Amino acid sequence: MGRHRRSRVDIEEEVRSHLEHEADALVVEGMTRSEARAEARARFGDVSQAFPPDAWTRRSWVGGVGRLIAELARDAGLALRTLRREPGFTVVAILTLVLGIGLNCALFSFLYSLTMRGLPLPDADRLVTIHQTFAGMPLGHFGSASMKVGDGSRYVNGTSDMVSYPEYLAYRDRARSLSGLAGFASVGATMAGEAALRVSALVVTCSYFQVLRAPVLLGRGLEPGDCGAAGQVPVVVLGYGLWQSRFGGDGGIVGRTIRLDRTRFTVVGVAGRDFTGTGLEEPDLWVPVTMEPALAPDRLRNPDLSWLALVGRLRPGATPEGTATELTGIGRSRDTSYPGRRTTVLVDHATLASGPILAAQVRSSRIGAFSLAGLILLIACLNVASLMLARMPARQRAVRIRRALGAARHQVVGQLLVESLLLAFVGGGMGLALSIWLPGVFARILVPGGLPVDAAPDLRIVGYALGVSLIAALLFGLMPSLETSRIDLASALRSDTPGGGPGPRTYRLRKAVVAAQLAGSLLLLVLAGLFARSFVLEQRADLGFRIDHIYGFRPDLGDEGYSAEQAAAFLDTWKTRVAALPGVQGAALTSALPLDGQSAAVFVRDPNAAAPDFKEGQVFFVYVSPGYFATMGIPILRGAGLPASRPASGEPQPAVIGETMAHRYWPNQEALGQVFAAPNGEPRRVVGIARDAFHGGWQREGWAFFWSAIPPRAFAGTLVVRVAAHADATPEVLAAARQLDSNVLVSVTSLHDVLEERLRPARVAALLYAALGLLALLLAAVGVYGAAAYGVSQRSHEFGVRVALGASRREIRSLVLRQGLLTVGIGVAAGLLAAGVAAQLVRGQLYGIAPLDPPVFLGIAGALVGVAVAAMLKPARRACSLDPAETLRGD
Amino acid sequence: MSTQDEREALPQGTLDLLILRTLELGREHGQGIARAIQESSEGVLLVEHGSLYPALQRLERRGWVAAEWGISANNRRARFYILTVKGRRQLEAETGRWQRVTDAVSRVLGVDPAGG
Repeated sequence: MGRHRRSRVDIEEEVRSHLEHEADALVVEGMTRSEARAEARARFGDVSQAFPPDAWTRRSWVGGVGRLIAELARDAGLALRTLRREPGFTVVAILTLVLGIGLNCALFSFLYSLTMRGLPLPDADRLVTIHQTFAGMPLGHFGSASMKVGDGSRYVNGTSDMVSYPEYLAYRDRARSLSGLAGFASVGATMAGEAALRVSALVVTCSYFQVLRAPVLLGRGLEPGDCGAAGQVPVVVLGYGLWQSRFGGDGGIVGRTIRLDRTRFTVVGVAGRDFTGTGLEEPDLWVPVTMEPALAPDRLRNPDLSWLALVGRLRPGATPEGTATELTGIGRSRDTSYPGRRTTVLVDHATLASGPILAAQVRSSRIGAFSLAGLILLIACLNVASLMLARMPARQRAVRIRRALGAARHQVVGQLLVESLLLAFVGGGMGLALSIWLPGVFARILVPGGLPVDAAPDLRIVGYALGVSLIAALLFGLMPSLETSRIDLASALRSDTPGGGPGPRTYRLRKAVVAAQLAGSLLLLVLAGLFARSFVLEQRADLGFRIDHIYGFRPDLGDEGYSAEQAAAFLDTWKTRVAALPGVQGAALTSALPLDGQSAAVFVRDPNAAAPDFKEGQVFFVYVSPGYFATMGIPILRGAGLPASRPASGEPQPAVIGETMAHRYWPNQEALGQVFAAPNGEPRRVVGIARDAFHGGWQREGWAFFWSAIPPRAFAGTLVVRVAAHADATPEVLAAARQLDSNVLVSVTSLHDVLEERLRPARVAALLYAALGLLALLLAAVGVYGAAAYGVSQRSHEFGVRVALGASRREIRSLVLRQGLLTVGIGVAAGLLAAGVAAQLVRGQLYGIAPLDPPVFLGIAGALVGVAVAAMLKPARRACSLDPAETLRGD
Repeated sequence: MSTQDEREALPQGTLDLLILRTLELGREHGQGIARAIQESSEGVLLVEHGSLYPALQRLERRGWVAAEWGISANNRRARFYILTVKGRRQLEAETGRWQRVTDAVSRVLGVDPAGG
C-alpha cells in the first residue's frame, strides 16, 4: 500500500465504470439507455473532481492561481446547474437586475456621452471649447432675462458667454497654444423649393472644417478663401441628413445652387455621414460666417455682441489650463477700452455638452438622476436578496450536507457568491445591451428631435457596468450567502425542526429585507402617484385661456427679408382676411403662443427710476393685437381691452395686466391708469386688468404677466386663430398667406400639441415611476408572502401546541397576521418617511398638489398594506389548518 | 496519529466514516458505495457521486481501504474497494470519538441512530 500515484487513465477507467453502473441501475429503474446515461452524468457532477490535483498545482504560486481558477470554474458550473434547475427564480432575478443595472448604465452612458466623451472626430482629445466671462461690467440693458433668447448684447455679469466676431479674430490671430480656432453660430433659414423647408444653418468661420478635421463625403469643406468680404462668397456645405432627405443623395449635387432665404448659395460639398457638428443641435448645413448677413441680422461688425461659440485645437504639448491663461491675457488686453471690465477665458475639453453653462445644468440634474437610479438598483438588489433568502431553507439543506462533507464555510460562501456574481453579470450584460438603446430614449424624452448622443459602449461604460454588477452582486449576494452558510454543525444538526432550519436571526433578517422592499416600493409608488395626479390636474387645469380649437400660424417673414413695418402690414392684412373666413371664430396676433415662450423683463412702477427693484421679480409679457382676449377667451375684469387705435405719439403704450401683477405693483391702490416701464424702456399705461392666464403653463403662483399693445416699428409674428368645433380652416388660412406672398413659409401648431409637448416629461415620469413601483410592489408582495409562509412553517410546532391547548383558528390567524403586520408597518412607515423627503425634492415639478398630498400618501400606503395582508392570508390560513397531531409528531 | 489527521478529522471524516461503514458490509465499487450512501439516507443525501472519489483516494492513500479491479455483478469491469485491517481498526477506534457527529449526521440523513 504505498503512496504510488494512480495514472489518469486508471481513474478515467474507474469513472467510466461508475457511470456505466449507474446507468445500468437507472435502466432497471425504468429509464431509456440514453436518458440513463445523461442522468448518470448529471448525478456524478463535475468529472474533474475525481482526479487528484497534480503535484505542481499543489505547491507553486502558479498552481495556487490555477487551483483557484479551477475552483471558480467548478463553482460556476455548479451555480449554472443550480440556476438552471430553478428557472422561475433565475428569470425573475435576472430581469430585476437587468432593469436595475441597465437603468444605471444607461444613465451613466447618457451623461458620459454628453459631458465626458470626446467628439467623434480625429484627435478629439485635443479639441477644446472656449468661453469668456466678464466681471465688473456696468449693469446694462435688461431687455431679456433668458440668455439664449437674448439679442446677445452684454448684460450679464460673471456668466460665461460666447464671443463677438472681432473677439474671435483677436483670439485666432494671437493665440500661440492653439493650432486653429473656429467660431460658429446657429441660425434658422428657409430653403426654397417645391415645398419650402425650415433648416438649421450653422454659420462658421472658414477654419471650421480644418480645425475639426471634419469628414467630407463629396466636394470639399469650407476653406479660408470662402470667408472673404461680407456677403461675397455664397457657398454651402450640406449635411448628410439633408442631402439624403432633400436631394435623395444626388451625387451630382456639388456645383448646383440652392436658395436660402433670399440668397442663392452654391453647394461645394456634402459632410460625412457621421459628422453632426459639435453640439447638441445637429445642423442641416454649413455656410461661411461672412454670409451671416444674408441669413440673420448682421452681427459681424458689432464688437459687443456674444454670438459665436468657439472650438479650438490645442497645439501638441499645450494644455487647456495653459491655453486659458494665454487667452485670458489676450482678452484682458482688450479690456482697456472697457473701463472696469475684466475678462476671464475658460477652456474645456470639447464634448457634446461642454462649457460652463451646460456642464452646470448637467451636473445639477446628475445628482437627482443618479440618486433615483441608485435607489432603483438598491430596490432591485433587495428584491433579489429577498428571493435568495426565500429559497434559503431549500438551499440550506444542500449547504449543510456540503459542510458535513467537509466544505469550509468560506468555500460555501464562495460558491453562493459565485452564483450571485453569475446572476449579476448576466443581468449586467443584458443591462449593458439595454443601455445602448436607452440613452437614445432619454434623449428623445428630453428633446423632441432627439440628441446626437453616442451610446456605443467603450471601455469606461463597460467598466462602469462591470463595477455596478459587482456592487449589485455583493449587495444582494453577500448577506444571503453569509446567512445561508451560517451553520454551526453541532447546533444546526440538533435543531428541533426536521432537517434543521435557519434560526431566528435569519428570520429577522428576512423581515428586515421585506420591510425595506416595502419601503422602496412605497417610495416609488408615492412618486408615481404624485406625478400622475399632478399630470391629471395639469391636463385639466384651467390655464386661464382656451386650448381647444386654437391654432397658431407663424410665417417666417424675417427670413424673407421683411422689415418690421412690412411684416406688421402683412400680418394685419392676413389677420383681417382670416377673421372673415367661414368657420373662424376669432383671429388675433401675438408675439408668442401661450406655453411656447414669452419675454420677461424687470419692470418698475416709476418710469423715471434709474434702477429696477429686483425684489419685485420678473414680469413676463407678450405683444398682442386687440382681438387677442376675445379669441383666447381671457376675461377682462376691470377697465377695457386694448384699444383698436394707436395712442398719440409720446403717450405710453396701452397694456392689459394680470391680477397678480396688479396686486404686486399696486397692492393698495387702483392699478388702472398707472404707468410702468422697464429701466430705459418704453413706458406703458394700464388700461385693463384681466384674469390671470398662465401663459407659461407650468408656472403658477407669483407669476406676473401683462399683454402689451404692439408698439410702432414692431410686430407680433404669430396669428392665433380659433375655429368652430369640427371645422378645419388651416388650408384656407395658409392660402390667405400665399395670396399675400407665395414665398412665405408658415408653420402651424395647435395649442393642444403644444400642451402635449409640455406635459410629456410629466407623463413619462409618472409612467416610469408607476412601472418601477408596480414591479417593486409585486416583488414585495412575493417577499411578504415568502416571509409569512416561512414564519408559519417555522412556528408550525408552536401553533400545533397552541391549537392543542385550545386556541381557536381565529386566534392563530390573528397571531400570524399581527406578526406580519408589524413588518409591513415598519416598512410602510419608513417608506412614508422617505417618500416625504423625496416629495419635497420634486416639489418644483408638481402641479396643483402639495408634495405631501394626503390622498396619494394615504391611498398608496393603504393599498400597500392591503396587498401585504392579501399576501399573508394564504400562509395564515395554512397556520389555521395545521393538524396539531401532525405538527407535534414531527418532534 | 499525525497532525494532519487531527486537522482533517471532523468535517472530512463524516464522509470517510460513511464509506468505511459501507465497506464494513463487504467489498464494493464506487458507484455501489454512492448508491448505498444515498439509499441508506433515503435519498436525502443528494451529493454528487463524483465527490466520493477524492475521499476514496484519501482513504486509499492512508491505507484504510485497498482497491483492485474486478468484474461486477453487471458483468462490467469495476474497481472494488475493501476495508483493510488498518481501516477496520481505525473505524472502531474512531467510532466513539465521532459518535456525536454521526448522531447528528444521522439526524440530518434521517437514519435512525439506534439502528446504526
